[in-house]
Amino acid sequence: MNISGVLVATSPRNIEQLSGELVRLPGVEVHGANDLGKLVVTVETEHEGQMADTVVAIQNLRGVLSAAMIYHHNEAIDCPEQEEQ
Amino acid sequence: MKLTRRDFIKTNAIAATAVAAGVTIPGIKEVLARSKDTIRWDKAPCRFCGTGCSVLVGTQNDRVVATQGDPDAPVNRGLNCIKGYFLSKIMYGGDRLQQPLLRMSNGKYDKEGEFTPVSWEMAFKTMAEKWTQTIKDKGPTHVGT
Repeated sequence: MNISGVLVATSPRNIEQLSGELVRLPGVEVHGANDLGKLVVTVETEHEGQMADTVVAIQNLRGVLSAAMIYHHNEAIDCPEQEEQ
Repeated sequence: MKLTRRDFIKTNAIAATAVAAGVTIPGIKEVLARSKDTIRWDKAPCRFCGTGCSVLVGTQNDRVVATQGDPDAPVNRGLNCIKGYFLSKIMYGGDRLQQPLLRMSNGKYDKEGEFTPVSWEMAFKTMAEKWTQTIKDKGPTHVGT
């Protein structure tokens, strides 16, 4: 299982429309944005290849100035609902 | 609120990205503070290109599981390129070369043969033979590394 944090930059007027387009991509969630047009996005995929493809897909969306991976975690989780605490 | 492993990892990803973006996400610090983080974080330079980005490398049970750009590094300020992110994990790639392969046909070395797994002894023996033979036939100026 791969989980990434991706910083997506767009122009402030595009935030709403772009958020809608982002969440249509498989495994993509939008968690917040600021008025400079920076969006906090997570991507969750099974394989690393899909992760790289998804980040490229984000970069290719209309209105995206840049999509930069900030955080990447790769771990085999046997039991996805295992409690952390 | 109960936190699954997946939620916890995602929360870490959101927190790191929010810092780099300068976005405030309410409540996230509290969620992370309540969880016992079993990841050990170390600092390392990215070895991909010559820029020298600083990377925070997370290990768990002696395996690299997570990487993030170092927000305090003046070179990359919390960002990394995608090559840098995957670099630390290709160590565990299933198709990584882990034993010597020799081009062989019918159990013998053959320049046109297929790559076949062999022992290190066999690999070094074959290399030594080829070098010795070349030096013998053509002289010491015909080998090099």
